[in-house]
Amino acid sequence: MTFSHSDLDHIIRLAHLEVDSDLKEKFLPQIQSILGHMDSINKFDLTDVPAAATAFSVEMTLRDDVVVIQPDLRLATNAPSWNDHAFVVPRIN
Amino acid sequence: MANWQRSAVELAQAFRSRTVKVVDVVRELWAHHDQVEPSVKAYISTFQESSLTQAAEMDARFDRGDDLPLLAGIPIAIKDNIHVNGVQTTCASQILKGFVPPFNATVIDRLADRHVIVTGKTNLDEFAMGSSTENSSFHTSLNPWDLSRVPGGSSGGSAVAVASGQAVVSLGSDTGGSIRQPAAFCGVVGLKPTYGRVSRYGLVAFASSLDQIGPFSRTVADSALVLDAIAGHDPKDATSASRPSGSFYSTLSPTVAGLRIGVPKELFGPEIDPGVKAKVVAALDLMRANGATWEEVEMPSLREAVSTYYIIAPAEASANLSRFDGVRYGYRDANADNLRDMFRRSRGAGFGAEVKRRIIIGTYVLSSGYYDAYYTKAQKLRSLIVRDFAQAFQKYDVIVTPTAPSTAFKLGEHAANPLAMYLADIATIPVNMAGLPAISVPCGLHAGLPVGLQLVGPAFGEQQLLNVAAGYEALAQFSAHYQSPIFAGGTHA
Repeated sequence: MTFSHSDLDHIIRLAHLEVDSDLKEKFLPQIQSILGHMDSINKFDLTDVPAAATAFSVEMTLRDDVVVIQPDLRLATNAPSWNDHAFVVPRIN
Repeated sequence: MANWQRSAVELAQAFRSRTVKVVDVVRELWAHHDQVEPSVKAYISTFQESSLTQAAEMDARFDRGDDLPLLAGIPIAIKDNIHVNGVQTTCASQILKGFVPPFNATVIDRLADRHVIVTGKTNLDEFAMGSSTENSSFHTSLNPWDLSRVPGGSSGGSAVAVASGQAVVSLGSDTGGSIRQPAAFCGVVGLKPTYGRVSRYGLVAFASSLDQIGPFSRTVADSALVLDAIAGHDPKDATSASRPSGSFYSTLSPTVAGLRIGVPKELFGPEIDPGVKAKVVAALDLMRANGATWEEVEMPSLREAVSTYYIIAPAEASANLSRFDGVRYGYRDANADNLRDMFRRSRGAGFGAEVKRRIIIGTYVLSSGYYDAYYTKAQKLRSLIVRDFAQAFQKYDVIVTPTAPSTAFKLGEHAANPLAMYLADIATIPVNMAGLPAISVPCGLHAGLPVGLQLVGPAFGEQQLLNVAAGYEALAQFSAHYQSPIFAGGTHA
């Protein structure tokens, strides 16, 4: 599979990134080389092999569904912009 | 021997007999820090004042005869992707600028229960993505054995802190080798526990199915002591294993007699530096001379572990790092005039090149048309890697490999070739893919630089792994023989 300039631009847009043109020129052959190396996985016959999201099944344990008092979450001091109990962001469009 | 050069176990005894005061250790440690830190740059931030206050409190309690945990008063450094309440977490990234977590990671709560003294937050590759600390947006840490070389990564700062004597023990995180590889490069012990053994709550997520927190130390017993503190089920982490962990330190039984060792051919090939290979073979032969047996074993899927990892880890990272968007915390580009531009420009300015490269790869392998070709296949290959290890453990007690294919490389040596950097993790990555515990211990010097021996055990087999590592330690006496010049000499020549 080839990874082209337009693939790179498309993925950068999907990932909400900004990458300058110099870095893009550097990334393209590097990512092509990395993806080329990954193609080696195709030499295995994986037809009947199950896909594993984790190495082994760890029993997922959930907490009791009870109300607890939240500590100060430092929302106001950590937020880049905060007003009247809300995060302030630029207009959507 | 200076007090800061003692192991945690030795200090615990000295604190109890009152032959050494905690405050003297901490004061001497900071004096040593002031001398060596400008050379090696282990830390992002340090807590000198609070550590001295805590040390005085510990001395008062020891003087009163309080029954304190063994780790009480022991100086520990924390990788700066683990939250300490009220102290900035940076992940060595500009995108977390100004972020102060409102809670402790579970491992920090558990260490606080044992009254450890946190010395500071250590340097790392940005968001733990790298093998050298060269991807830190603050500075590159330097190897205390040779300042022209990297300390390994991503937990390079935590390895350097211990290897240079600026902390007695430290915590790192390991997603593809980020504890074991820097431990090998810096000549210290590094332990990656079984996935699920240690809570990930409060560890900034990189690849959630692979991340695990573990200790660095100069002796195996010290790693066992730290693991005792941090292991165990945590209701705040849904992937935390519900099995009891026991006491690894108090049941430590150093031995290699009767041990059956498997050595995967796939991780002993031409990629491994002959000088490294010779030290690993010497270590295997030393164990054989003391009652162990070893032979080579075929584990074909391990050859593809790096490819598998560099599909799965970036895929998970691309999802985990989507939360850094300039809305709730961290850096925001102030000039964007709409929300979409703010996401793009904040992430563009806040993330470094390696993080962007991995987000791009991760987004690509998850994108429409490529998901099955890459991501699904990688998940199937993970099953094969798990199966190969499971079959090997039917015949062998431990799997042994070199921790890294080479000794510490030069600064900038792999900077232009990320694939070469990724392949430096060839021996550590399969262990994360299989979720297994592994420990790196020093096994000699090649051209004056430390070589790491990796011991891998079956899932939740940390006790046996520590017993074997301690057994090898008793034979090789590595903590006495392999000390960095900065550690052994007290200062950098």
